[in-house]
Amino acid sequence: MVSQLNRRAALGLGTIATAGAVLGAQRAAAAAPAVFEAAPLTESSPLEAARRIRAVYGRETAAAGGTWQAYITVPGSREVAVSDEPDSVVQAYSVNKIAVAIAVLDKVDRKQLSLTQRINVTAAIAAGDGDGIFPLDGAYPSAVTLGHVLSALLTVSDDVAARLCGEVVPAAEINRILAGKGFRKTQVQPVANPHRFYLGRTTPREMHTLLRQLVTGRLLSRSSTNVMLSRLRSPIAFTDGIRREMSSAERARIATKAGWFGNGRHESGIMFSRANKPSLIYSIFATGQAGAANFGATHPAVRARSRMGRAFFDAVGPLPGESLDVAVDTPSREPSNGG
Amino acid sequence: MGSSLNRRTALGLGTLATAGAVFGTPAVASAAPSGGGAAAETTPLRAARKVGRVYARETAEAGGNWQAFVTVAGSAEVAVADEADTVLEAYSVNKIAVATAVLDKVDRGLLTLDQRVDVTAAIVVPGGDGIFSLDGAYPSSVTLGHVLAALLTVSDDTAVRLCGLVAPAAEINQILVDKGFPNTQVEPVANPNRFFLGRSTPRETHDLLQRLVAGTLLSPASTDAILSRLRAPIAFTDGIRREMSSDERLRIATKAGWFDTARHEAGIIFDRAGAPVLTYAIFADGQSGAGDFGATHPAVQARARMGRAFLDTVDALTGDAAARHARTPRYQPSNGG
Repeated sequence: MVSQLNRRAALGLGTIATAGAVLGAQRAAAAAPAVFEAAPLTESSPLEAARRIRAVYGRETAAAGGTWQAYITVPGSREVAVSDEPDSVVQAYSVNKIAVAIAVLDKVDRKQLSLTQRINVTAAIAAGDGDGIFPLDGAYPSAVTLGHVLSALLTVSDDVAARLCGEVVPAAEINRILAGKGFRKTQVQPVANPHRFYLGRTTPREMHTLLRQLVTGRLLSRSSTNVMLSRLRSPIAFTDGIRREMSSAERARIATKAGWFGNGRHESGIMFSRANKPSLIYSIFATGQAGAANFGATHPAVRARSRMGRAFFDAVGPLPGESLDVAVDTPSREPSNGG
Repeated sequence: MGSSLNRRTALGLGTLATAGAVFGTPAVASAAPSGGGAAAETTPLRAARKVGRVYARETAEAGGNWQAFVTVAGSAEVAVADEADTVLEAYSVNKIAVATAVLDKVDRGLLTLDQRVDVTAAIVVPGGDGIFSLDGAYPSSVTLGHVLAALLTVSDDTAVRLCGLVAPAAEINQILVDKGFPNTQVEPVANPNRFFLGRSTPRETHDLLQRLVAGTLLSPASTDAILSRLRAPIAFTDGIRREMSSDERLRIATKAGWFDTARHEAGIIFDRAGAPVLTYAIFADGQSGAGDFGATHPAVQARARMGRAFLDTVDALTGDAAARHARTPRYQPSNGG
């Protein structure tokens, strides 16, 4: 627990007020049923929300154990909510699908690609392990629009979709585009085939900056920004972590992308206020917890994120969010009974 | 709570042993952390009885109306028979029946999984569930295999219409009647290739699943086409499979349905060797919070607790050896390459 104490000290969490965490009392709290903190809706300022989020992060990461790196901000707060080894270069895993999509959409914005152009989903490109929907098809080839590829990539974290992106934006070009936008540590990892890549690396701070630039309209065109956000906010985007303990309306206010591989469990995203303005940006990376073979909901780091998500959302709930120059579409989803 | 008491009586649960439910005691148990697990039972009969008790406790706690048929392989008693023959709106649970009709045509050589259908802008259900409505760029030309993957995992509403292109509503219903499911029927509309998802009964949905997994509904390949998708990590995880590891989720084939005040889920729990051990068809409506289609709806939360308890209860049992052993899905995450 020494290292956790050090981490908490580094986080500026102090030791007196939070000594319970170190001595185990917090562990019990964190293992409590899905009630969480009673989250009094008294946080009236971004600064208070940021401090509350810092306390929750410190408590939950200590309870879950393992290694955590994160950068979390509440727009309008003069203090960063969480700055936990934010410049560590980490294996981003599927969180970097956000970066891959940005490279694709940058080419769309420059008219070098179109969302309606089609790509073949062949048996060869769908082969192998991985997440998502295309590996389940068992029948190839389909010819799908780039818009469909991005849907699969950003919601169900489709690994075949990452390869399909590589068909239209080779790894080297993805990295050039990202570097050109200022993301020199957010880079995919090239392999022999120029159209394939490992998902590569980022830092908590760079992924946070990328999301912030995205949502403030500085990264992509308005339509491409909404292509990203509409998918990341959809009901079928990741729901085991930050969005787990939420209603459908609450989930629609969170754009999120998770990543998991080996013993890594990551998630980054943006919470929106009721007025549809960004009220929290999170970039959270965890490795080394127990149960590395469990990619479901009961992994300790995923559970910790589910508690953080509810508490974060409640903490920023009363805030109006940051004013934007770009208009972010409000998702409108309605269950259907067919017809 | 009078109706809960009546329902419990109808379920044969008696009132003395379970009177606590009426007076609120089980609320404590069901509010236990992580959805209240249960000890593994050693016989199918004991497991069925415990499943019945868990169902009664959780449905009483959640309130609203429930209809269900749940069985444990090898048990002389049905675990739950709660208004099992009520004809009800099945919503997206009937996507299993739609897929069954499509695959029946595949088995008869009338369709192939690699034939393609067009996902046009006109056929997309705006704002509907699933993936195609998010694309914003049409048309794609996708295999029937991809259509079924979207239909059975992320419950894609556009995929339903795509199925209707190759299996019109009247034909779907005839196929289901011929297979012995006269009450599991889609609801035709003016366009013969479109339909509302229609109705079923808890017993028929349960029986359809049992025959599917027994290999008496479809060919082995088509059986796997359904089960591999229903057991996928991206199939529904807010209900029965919610409080589970990835390996545990792979042991459960599930399909949920939700619309208006209704929240349904039906599926199969497999033992570690791949034999079916518990089959459930659970239909709920009328709980509070009808506008919440997320995880915090009371009926969905109830199913999450049931799911964990059901799996724990049957975890030491061996499934139905007579049923065709389903291929256990393989899942390994990827880092690209």
